[in-house]
Amino acid sequence: MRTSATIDALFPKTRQAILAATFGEPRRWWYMRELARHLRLTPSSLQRELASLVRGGILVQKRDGKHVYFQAATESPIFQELQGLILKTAGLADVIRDALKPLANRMQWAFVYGSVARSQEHSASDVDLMIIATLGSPTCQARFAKPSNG
Amino acid sequence: MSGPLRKAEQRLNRAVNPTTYRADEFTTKVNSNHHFISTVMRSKKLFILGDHREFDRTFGEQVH
Repeated sequence: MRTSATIDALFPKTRQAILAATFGEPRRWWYMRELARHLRLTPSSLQRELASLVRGGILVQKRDGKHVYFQAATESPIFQELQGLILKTAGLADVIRDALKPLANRMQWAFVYGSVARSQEHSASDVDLMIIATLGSPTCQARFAKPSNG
Repeated sequence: MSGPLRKAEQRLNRAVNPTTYRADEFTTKVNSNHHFISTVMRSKKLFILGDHREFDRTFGEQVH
């Protein structure tokens, strides 16, 4: 899902995915199983990364009964910088999905194409987004810009 | 653009350029080798919503 060359050069895949989810929704406390389901990974594959991110002060954990929850360490001195980095790179798909959520039931497919999808984006590249609306959803068209060379 | 993507643009700090087609319009353009759509079909795709396998089945196998 996440194809940014920039973030690939910095972090291994599992760590990217954890950071994208937690920093994408920094107020949310994630139960490990829930995070694993969201990322389509096994809980055991997350364990080591989560422990290391907590040790490094990037994530915080809290215990509630027998469950352990994780959250982005919003008090960390590097929180803002790291969140900016994640959102501009690994978190891209999540950010756009979140924005499209109110209209998602009218969309059959939405995908990013072009330089961002090819992992060749520069930090300033625009994100080219194609939305294919479900048949019989005229309102979707009206809510977005018309194709320029349609 | 106004609306739902504005928030995403602010969070990503870059412009998001959406192009919207109805599924039947998109099919017509794919079948007629419309220039822009052909380029899009050949491009790598990062799926945000929907199943990419279903997309491939619907519009023909593509590399992405």
